[in-house]
Amino acid sequence: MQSFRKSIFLILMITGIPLRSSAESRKPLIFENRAACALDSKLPADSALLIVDSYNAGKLVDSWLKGLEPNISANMNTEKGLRYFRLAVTEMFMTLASEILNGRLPLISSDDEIIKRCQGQTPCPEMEMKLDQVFQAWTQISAVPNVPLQGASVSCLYLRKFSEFQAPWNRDRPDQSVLQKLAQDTLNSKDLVSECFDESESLSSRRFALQFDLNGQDPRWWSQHGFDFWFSLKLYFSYSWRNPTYILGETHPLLGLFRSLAVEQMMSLVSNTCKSIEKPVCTESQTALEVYRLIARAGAPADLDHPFSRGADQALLAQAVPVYHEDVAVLPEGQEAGVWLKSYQDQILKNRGFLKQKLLSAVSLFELMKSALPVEDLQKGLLTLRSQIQDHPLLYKKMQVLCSEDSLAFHPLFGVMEKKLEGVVSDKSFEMLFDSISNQQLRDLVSYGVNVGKMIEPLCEQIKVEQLWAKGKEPEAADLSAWYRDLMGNGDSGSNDFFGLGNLFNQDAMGLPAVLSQERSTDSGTEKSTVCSDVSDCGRLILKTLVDLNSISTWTSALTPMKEWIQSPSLANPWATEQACKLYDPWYATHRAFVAMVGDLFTTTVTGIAPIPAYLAIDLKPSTVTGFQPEPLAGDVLLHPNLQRGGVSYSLGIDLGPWTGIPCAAIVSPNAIGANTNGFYTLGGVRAEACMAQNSHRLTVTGASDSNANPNAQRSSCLMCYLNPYSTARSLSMLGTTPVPLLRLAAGVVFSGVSLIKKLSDPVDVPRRFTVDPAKVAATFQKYSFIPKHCVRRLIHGHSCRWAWLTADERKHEPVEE
Amino acid sequence: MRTLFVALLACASSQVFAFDVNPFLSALGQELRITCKATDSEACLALCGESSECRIEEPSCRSCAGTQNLWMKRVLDQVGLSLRARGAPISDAQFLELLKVGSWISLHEKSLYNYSSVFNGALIKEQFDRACAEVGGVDGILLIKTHPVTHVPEEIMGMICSEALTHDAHLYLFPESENRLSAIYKRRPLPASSDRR
Repeated sequence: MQSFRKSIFLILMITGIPLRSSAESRKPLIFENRAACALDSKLPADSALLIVDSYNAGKLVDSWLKGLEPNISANMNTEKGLRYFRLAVTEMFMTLASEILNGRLPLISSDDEIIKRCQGQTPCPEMEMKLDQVFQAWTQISAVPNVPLQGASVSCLYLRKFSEFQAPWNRDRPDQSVLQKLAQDTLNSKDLVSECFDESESLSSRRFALQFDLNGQDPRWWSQHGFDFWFSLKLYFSYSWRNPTYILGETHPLLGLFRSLAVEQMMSLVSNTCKSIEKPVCTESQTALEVYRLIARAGAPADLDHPFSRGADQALLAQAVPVYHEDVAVLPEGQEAGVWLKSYQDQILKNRGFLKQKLLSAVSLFELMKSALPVEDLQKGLLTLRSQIQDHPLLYKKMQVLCSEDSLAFHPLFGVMEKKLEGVVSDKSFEMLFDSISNQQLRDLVSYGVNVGKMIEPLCEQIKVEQLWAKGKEPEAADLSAWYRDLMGNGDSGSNDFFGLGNLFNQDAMGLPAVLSQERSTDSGTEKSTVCSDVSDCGRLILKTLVDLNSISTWTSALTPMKEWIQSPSLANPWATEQACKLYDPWYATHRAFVAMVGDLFTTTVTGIAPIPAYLAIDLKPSTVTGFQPEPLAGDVLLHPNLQRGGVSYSLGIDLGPWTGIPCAAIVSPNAIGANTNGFYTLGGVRAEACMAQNSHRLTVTGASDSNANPNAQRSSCLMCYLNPYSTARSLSMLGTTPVPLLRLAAGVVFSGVSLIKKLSDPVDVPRRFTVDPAKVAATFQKYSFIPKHCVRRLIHGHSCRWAWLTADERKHEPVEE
Repeated sequence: MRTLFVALLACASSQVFAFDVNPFLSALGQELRITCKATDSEACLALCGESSECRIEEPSCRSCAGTQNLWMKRVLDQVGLSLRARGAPISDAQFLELLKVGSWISLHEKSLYNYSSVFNGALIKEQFDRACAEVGGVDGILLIKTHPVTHVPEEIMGMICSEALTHDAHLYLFPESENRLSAIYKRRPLPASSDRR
């Protein structure tokens, strides 16, 4: 074990490459609110977690040991094999990352011409050839300059437990208790983390999480090249894993075994902050990756659980933009990392398994049916059944169910399947997956299914015309397929019902042998199993398989990717995809506050000069996404949001009270549904409080942070007059005294400023970041034995707290002697 | 590659040899061992230069070890069902040539790439026995052609079956034109790669 590591370490030490693997220093933690987190998703991450499930490596080593000849002593066991795997992964990542940062391995951009030509296909021979050249050059170390790029280095930690160091995943503003725990965690970090290359048996290698931190890089350089760094690291890792002698040397004992692993599917590299590993782009694969965060949030319902998939983009549209990190909280602090990893990875496994089963079943069925049951044969069979439905009550019911389902799927006016299936056949990543398991064309199989569906529809219409159905007698819900019930909102359509074809499926209605059977392997031989009992069952099975194909194609790019590529779902940032798809605008609240201020200042000017209190209230309405326009792009599908522009709404109001003595105000709102008083009454300075009370039951003012509101596009104008007794009182007083424009002007300006500050202090939608240096927090804790309240503000802005004003309660604490 | 393969087969003599083929797991991974009878040592000599036994180390199989490889799962599920040895085997000389020049991996009851069922379990044993039942053989071994450079499995070549009494091994090819199921399991070829290394 040591030998292959020693070799690479020796090289690294001689050449002075900064390779760090220690818990000695901690980067400052950045806590961000929704808006800041969304904004940061466009920047490259400088800290990442590698989450690994080593099951496949364990099974490989275990099988190998069981099958190994007795006379070969492998000096190995499965646990040891897993440890070798963990250390090999660590070794590869650390070496490659360091070599990229030192300029010995070149940065490769995702915009590279060869990458584009490969169109997401892996392995891509042209790319492999380029990587061969890169690594051959790399072996001649002296030929490549050793110039560290911007002084950057990488460090690595093995996470034993999740702690407050992962707190930014869950919180936007750290409070006293968070700082307190962070200080304790900093001082007891040995319980939480280990050295990455720790070979101790007590560390789990079955499931593990490594944290990679980039240190010392020039921020400007990093913002330009950070994404290329992660891209190159993944690309080089995939290559090196299959050509392991470059990194692990010739002597690694499990070299021959490990290189056959589908290693990318055993791990994901996720950002440890709001920043990203891959630049978020609104694509189908990006929206599908959201499923991982939903999985991480145990029990969250996902489109994946529905028998009829609406699509990842629709799932994204349907879900509300989460307000806080807690809405998607994923990392439980204080828990053994392995416990969370187990539940997360088990969920992924379960969903993947379900999807794989569905896919394999769909492919086998279509292949079988297309060759055994041509559309014409099915048609003939159905015509025969039609003539017998009056004589066989069960057949009647079965045909009725078939017709109901086919009508929902392929009715010329309201059928839901045809358009969905067009999307399925144009999905390149799904086609790649399909091609990998069948040499039949996806398009041909789907077209076979569509032809069957379209053939059934007129036949059912004819039955209706002939009035063969009893009037008012609908099929029982339990007899219908799960996808039908799901689509009709008829509950109880969960994914547990794998076949989901209802009670009547494959019930023998005519006492005839099954139309289609197939052989299956069992421990004792083979057995015949019925595929479909009569042609109505076959028809329903084909419809269900089409529905499954649609559902599978939605999620395969995320859950069963064909690409040999380590995935990077944005687990710590629930707003990355929302921002990329324009479902969330992190600048909206800020812009809205400034636009409102313009209105306030205008009103201030008018009321300051004239004795008539008039106001202009301007409000910025958020744009909303009504759907997505797909555009195929390099093996993926780009989603262009259909934006309904928000625009600006404004209300012009005049309070007639001071002028006419009539307790009335006129408000004109040409493009808003209700009159907007945004700041009018409060702008009234001394009159504010009284008028606010009147205001409360008259008008609804949308809060600045309420960007989830989906304003109706309908526009109207209104002219309002309402009783305002305070206005009358004010008018009398105003008419009887000399107005003081300058004072009013000053008060108005002050109020505009106060109003702006209030709006900009929105805790959620105005970007806000807090930087906490664990070392400074720990120092404060050591000084006082707790974190004083007075220190919180300073610490969350990255400052030290050398002196604190202690509250009476706090003074009771015994300070720790230094 | 295919042209070369066909040419080799055409050139191969129709000489009859007797040899066993057995799968093993070595320190480096999977290997096939060809054991030649004393009277047929020239078969082994031709194959590897040794007179009694040849060990052929298999290359890696790209991304084959994993629960996510659906192609491998599908192939394993079909062993003994649609994937059965049928008809006549190819000549022993052709068989040896194919082992010598081809880029391939083997699937069998002790295969490292079986993530579908228990390693060396009853189900997989029964499947590989059944795969040879029609030709009166036992201990089936499925040969899969892999890409010589990328090591991606590309096509099922055939089933090796051993005679129950003598253990003499024969290879039953799955020609595309004659076996519908080999066609099903043939993957589309990768884009041609230029000469490397």
